Amino acid sequence: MTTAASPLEAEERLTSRSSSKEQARFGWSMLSPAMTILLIMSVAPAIYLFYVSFRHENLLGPGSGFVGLQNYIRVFSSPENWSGAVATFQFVAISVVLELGLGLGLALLLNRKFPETNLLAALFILPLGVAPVVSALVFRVLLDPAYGWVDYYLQLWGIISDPIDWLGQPFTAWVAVIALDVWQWTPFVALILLAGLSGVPAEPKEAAMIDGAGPIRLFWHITLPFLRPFIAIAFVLRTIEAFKTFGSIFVLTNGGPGSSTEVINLDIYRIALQNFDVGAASALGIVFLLILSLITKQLLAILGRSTDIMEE
Amino acid sequence: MSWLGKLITRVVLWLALVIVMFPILWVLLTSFKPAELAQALPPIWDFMPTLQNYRDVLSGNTYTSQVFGVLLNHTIIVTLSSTLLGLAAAVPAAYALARVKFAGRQATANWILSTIMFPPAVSVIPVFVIASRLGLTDTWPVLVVPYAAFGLPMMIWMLRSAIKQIPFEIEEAAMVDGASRGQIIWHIVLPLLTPSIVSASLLAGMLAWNEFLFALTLSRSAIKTAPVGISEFTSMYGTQWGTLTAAATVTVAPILLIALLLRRRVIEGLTFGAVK
Amino acid sequence: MASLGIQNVVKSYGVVPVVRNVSIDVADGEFVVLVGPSGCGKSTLLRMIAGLEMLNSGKITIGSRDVSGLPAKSRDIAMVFQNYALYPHMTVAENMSFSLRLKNVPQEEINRRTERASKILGLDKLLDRRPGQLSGGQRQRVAMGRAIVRDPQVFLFDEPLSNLDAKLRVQMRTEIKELHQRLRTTTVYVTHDQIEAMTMADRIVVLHDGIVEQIGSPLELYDRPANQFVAGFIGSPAMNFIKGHVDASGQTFVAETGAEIALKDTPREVHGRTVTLGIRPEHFVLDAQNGLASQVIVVEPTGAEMQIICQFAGQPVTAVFHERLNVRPDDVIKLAPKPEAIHLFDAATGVALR
Repeated sequence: MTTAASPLEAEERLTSRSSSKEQARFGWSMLSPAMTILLIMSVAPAIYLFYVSFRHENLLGPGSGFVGLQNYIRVFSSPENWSGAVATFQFVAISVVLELGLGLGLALLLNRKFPETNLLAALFILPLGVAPVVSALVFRVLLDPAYGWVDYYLQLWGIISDPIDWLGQPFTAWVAVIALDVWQWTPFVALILLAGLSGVPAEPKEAAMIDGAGPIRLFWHITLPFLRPFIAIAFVLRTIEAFKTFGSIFVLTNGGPGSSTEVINLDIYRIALQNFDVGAASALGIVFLLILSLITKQLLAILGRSTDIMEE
Repeated sequence: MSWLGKLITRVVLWLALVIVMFPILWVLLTSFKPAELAQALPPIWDFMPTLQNYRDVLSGNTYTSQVFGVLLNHTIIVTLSSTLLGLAAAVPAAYALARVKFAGRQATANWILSTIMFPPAVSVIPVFVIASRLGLTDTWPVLVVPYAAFGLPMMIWMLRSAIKQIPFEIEEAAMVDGASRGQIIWHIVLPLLTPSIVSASLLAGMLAWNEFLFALTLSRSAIKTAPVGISEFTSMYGTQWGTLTAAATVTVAPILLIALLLRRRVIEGLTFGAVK
Repeated sequence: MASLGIQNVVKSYGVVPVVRNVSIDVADGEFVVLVGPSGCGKSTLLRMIAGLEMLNSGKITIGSRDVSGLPAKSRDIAMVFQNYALYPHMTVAENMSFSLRLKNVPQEEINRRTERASKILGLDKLLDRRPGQLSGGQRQRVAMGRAIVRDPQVFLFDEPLSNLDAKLRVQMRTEIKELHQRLRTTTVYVTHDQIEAMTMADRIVVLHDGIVEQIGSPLELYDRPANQFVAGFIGSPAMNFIKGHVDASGQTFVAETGAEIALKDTPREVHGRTVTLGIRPEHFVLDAQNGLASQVIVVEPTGAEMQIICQFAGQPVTAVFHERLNVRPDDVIKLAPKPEAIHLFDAATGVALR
């Protein structure tokens, strides 16, 4: 006999109350507003992109029509797209790894109880509320070789002798792009992990200490396993969002210098809305979508394995 | 921990805080500087704080095409309507996914979650092309609907897990008490869901408030939002530091205040409700 | 208030039968307890009465109404849940009056009824509290208050005391009983605790594997269990069972070990038959002449009585004595069942033979 109401039993009961047909009708009608919005914004665009990707479609020029695989051939033969792909993965990998590493360190430090830690943890929420456009503009202004504070103080302190044109060289532009993302999102990772750390129970820790485990073993065998779901959430969310990054890079470097920081998102945007070559942009978009959906599938599988939020 | 370890920990923490706070404080500081001192190097620290930049920004005395206050109004309108639309769609959807059993439910939930990977830079193309053809560019729906869609997956997942945590017995008690399904949702589920609804709305609101790409692409003047407006402070006539930072402060401050006040709710929202 | 009829009710989840063909008639004002082990179908049966589960077949009537197809909200029943299921966001008063507010009962009437119920339950000072601020016992009372306010046709209780500590459970048991004596509302009460069933019920329904094993008053079930299951389920400590056979004369029970126990007034049909003998722990006596030598294994004094577990006719049995015996483990005592208190059950079917 079951008396406690676990969700699954609750469903069993609900099902048995009215016919399954009625349930389905009720369920879908409750879902329909959300489904409509999501279809309009995901499935419909994907179908349209797929359709246009086989056409020559120029927003300004005439002569739209079916061109077969030509757009795809152009997409794959364009070195800019390949470098865009490399830039994208480079950006995602470096910034997510840095954010997770620094975020974990920050969370561990914040987990030590000093009088000021609560205040600090509260203030660390601020970067993730700043509009990416604003933070990118601020970075741009601060990195300005003529008026920026960064070059000024680096020179003042004798770290560099001549001003650096941060956004004028590929390597330093990359440093700036990643620094911006790390600045904005490391606190987010830290706060998630801090929430996880505060849930690590004291008992196993004490037991392990009695068993003679040192701080490193303690972290590895006790803290880290408890932190696993939180690390998974931070990793998955940051990775997905990093793949979608547009505004901050657009404002900070606009893909430059040259196309050195032009991630796929900027690439697509430029092809479609600056060159008005919608067909090619669509083909590139479809390829990107396919790759992203494969990656997302893996990411959600990670989420499912490490947390219970995917469970029925 | 030794006193040295403690000292190092605290120094590192405060250093991290300085790095985190510096750009924000710089914006605040510069926004109160007289325009002619804003760009001076070495930085001038003793100046008469002035509100002139704010006056310029809000009255339109800048090089931008529109008064910034108007853009801020647009942002408020778009944020509120997209959040409300999202909420109106998310609550029933979350209830169905949490409580109603039907074939394809889990697949639907997973599909909804997976739509978060759709990059706006890709979806903006068809939306732009179709909106242009239908003459919908620069109208409210082209921002409100996409913004609602951006927030929806997280809202639904969050509310779904929140509904699952309400013991079903409570709903059954209401049934026995004579409540219909609608009455149960209205009188029992919604009130118990309030904290999560706040979290979800904060998240969706933040996404909408800060969104740049769709606003940049689909608005001209009638619905142009603050983030797009800010980006224009730097474009044509060189960067006006004073007005730029004043505009940035006005745009960012409401979000930061809310984030500070409702910190727990914001973190819950940013993580699908997985972190309470 | 009304009578409640359950006729040939069948329920299964998929292919797993939970309730198989159960029929129970509950008279107007009666307090009936459904009791049985976990998984016997008692809660499902209760939930079908409430309208929270649909029947596969059969009929449930309240008064003269057939409610089998009605949803919970139209049945005019009130239910107290195991976890109380109070509305966390409502005050005690709001919790109790929710059903009345749904029905748009005038405010005055709501106040009057809430006041009355809270007086009965001693909740008058807690009306503005929320469930989170109440103790377990107080929550339990609010859940009952919510039921009383309704003045429903039938009260249903689903293991309402299982979350309370032992002392409070005894106290609430008495309160529920008193409440019923005062209101005389038809009540169906589910529990797995046979002591709760014995102390509260007008009639007990023993369920096992989805079927009714026996329906009767508490003492009927105790004195004349219909089968070995009921005999073993009702009574604490549980009845002892010893396998063996009745000799041809019907005067003696012979255990599998060969030990002999005297019988009295056995019906003809059991003579020479293989049976299970049942004897309650409280029906043993010390008999230096006819008792079987039994080696004591454990002695458990509770103050009021002494439980002695000892090796009797080849197996461990429990015996309870109200006098204080000077017995220690490994002592040998001479133990004999009172012949008139012996139950005999068919060895194969478990049906009582009398």
